[in-house]
Amino acid sequence: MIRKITVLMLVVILLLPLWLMIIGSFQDINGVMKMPPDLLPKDPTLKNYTAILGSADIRWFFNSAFIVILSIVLSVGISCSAGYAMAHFDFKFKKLIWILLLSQIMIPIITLYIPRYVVIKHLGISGTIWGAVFPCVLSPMGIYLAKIYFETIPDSIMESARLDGASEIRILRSIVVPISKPIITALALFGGVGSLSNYIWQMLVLQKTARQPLLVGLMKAVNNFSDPIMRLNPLGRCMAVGSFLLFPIIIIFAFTSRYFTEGISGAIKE
Amino acid sequence: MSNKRAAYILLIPGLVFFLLFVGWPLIEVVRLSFFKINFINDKFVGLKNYLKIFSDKTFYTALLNNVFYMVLYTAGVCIVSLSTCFLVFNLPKKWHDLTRFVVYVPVISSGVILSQTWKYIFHINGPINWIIAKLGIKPVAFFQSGVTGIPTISAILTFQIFGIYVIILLANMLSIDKQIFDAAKIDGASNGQINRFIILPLMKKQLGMMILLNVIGSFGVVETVLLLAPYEHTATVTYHIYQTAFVIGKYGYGAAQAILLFIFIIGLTLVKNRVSKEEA
Repeated sequence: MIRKITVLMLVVILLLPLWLMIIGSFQDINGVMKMPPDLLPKDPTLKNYTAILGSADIRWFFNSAFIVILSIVLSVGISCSAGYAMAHFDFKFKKLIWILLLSQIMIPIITLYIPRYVVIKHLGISGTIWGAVFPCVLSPMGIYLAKIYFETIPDSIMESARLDGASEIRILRSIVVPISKPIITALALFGGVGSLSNYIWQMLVLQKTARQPLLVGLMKAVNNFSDPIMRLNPLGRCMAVGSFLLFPIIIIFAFTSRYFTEGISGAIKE
Repeated sequence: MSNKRAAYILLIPGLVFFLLFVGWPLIEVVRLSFFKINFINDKFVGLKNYLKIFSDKTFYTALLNNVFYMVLYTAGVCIVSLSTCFLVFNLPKKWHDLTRFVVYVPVISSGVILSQTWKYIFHINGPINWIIAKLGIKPVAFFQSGVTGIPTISAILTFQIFGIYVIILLANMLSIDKQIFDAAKIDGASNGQINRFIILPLMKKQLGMMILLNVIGSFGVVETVLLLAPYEHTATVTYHIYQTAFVIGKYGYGAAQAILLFIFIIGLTLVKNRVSKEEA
C-alpha cells in the first residue's frame, strides 16, 4: 500500500511541472505571479498564445512538418536496415562496422557540431533544411534497439522462406515488417520527437527566418526582450511556447506509448 | 542475390551517413584544431590553440563546474532510477505500465520545452521560492551563483533523463528468472536483501554502462545551461566550447578543446573497460 502511494506521489511530482506550465500559459501576469499557483486557471486567457502566434511565420509550420517527416523516414530507414543486417547476416568486418555505427554515443554531440558545421558548408547544404536534418538522423540508440529487436525473429522462419524461393526483399516485406510494428513505431517516435526538440543544431544551421522551424522561430521570438508584447508577461509567453511545442509530442506519445514500451522492453527482455 | 550482398546493401545508408556526419567531422575537427578559422583563408597556427587552453581561466572554471555536475548528475540519475525500479518491481504489471508511461513524459518533452517551466518554477517569485519563504528562508536566485545553480541544474537534468534508465533497468530486472527470488524467499531473505544481494549483482553490467553514459552525458550538457543559466559560474565544458566556437567565432580554438574532451572520454572508457574486465 505504501509503495502504491509512493508511486502515485512520483506520478504527481513528474507531471506537476508540465501541468504548471500548461496552466501558466493560460494566465495573465497576475495569475502567473500569484502564489500559491492555482491548480486550475481561475480566469483563463488566450493572450499568451495570440501573442506568440502573432509573431510566428506561417512558413515555420511547414518547415517543422517537413523536418519531422524527413527525420522519421531517414532515421527509421537507417536504423532498421542497419539493425537488420547486423541481426541476420554474417559478413566481413561486422564487429568493426558495429562499433563505428555506435561510436557516436560516446561523443558529446555538441563537440561534433563544430566540424559538422564545416562539413555541411563543403556539401553545400549549409543554411538549408537538409543541413539541419541529415547530420542528426544516424541514431546509435535506434540501430541498437532495432538490432536486438530483429534478433528475436528466429532465423528458421527466414531460412524456410528462402528455401521456398523468396527474395530478401520479399522476406523483409512479408515477414519482418509486419511483426516489427512496435519497434518501427518506437523508432519513429524517437526520430520525430528528436527532430522536434533538436534546438541548438537547428538554431545554428537555420539562420534565415523563412527557413526556421517553429521551435527555433518561437524560441527566438519569446527571448526577444525588447519586444513590448513579449515583455508584458514574459513567463506566461515562455510557458505558452513550451505548451504549444509540447502539444504535438504528447499527442503522438499518447497514441504510440503502448508500442513504444513494447518495442523497447521486448527488445531488452529477449 | 547472395546473402552477403544483401547485407552490404542494407548497410549502405547507415555507413554513408556515418562517413559524412561522424567520420569526416572527426577528421575535420583534428584539422580545425591546428588552424585559425575564418572560412575565407584559414591560417595554420600549429599547437597554438592547444597551448591557449592552459592559460584560459574560463575553461578551468567550466572544467571544475563540470566535475560537480558529473558527481551530482550521475549520482542523481543512478539513485532515482534504481529506487524507482525497486519501488515498482514487486507491484502488479499495471503499475509497471503506469510508471513506464509517466517517467517517460519528461524525457519525451525535451529540455527546450521543460526549460520554459523551470524558468517559472525556479523564478525569484516562483513556486519553489514560495515554499522556501514559508519555511522562513530568504528567497534564492537559483541560477545566479554556482553554489545553487549547479545542484539545481543537476536536479533538473536528473528529472529530465532518469526515465530512460527506469525503462531499461526495469526491463532487465523483470527478465531475471523468478525462481531465484522464490528460492531466496524460502531461505528467509527480505526484499531489501534480495535487492542488494541478488538484483544489483546481476545487473552489474547495465549499471556500469549507465554510470559511464551519465558521466559522458554530464560533459555534454549545453541546452539547459544555455536556456536557464548562461553564465560562467554554471558553464559546463561543452557549453564553453559552444560559446568559443559559435558565439565568439573561434572555431579552431573550440575544436582544440573538443579534442581534449575526446581524449578525456576515451581515457575514461578505457579505465571503465579495464575495471569491468578485472571484476569479471
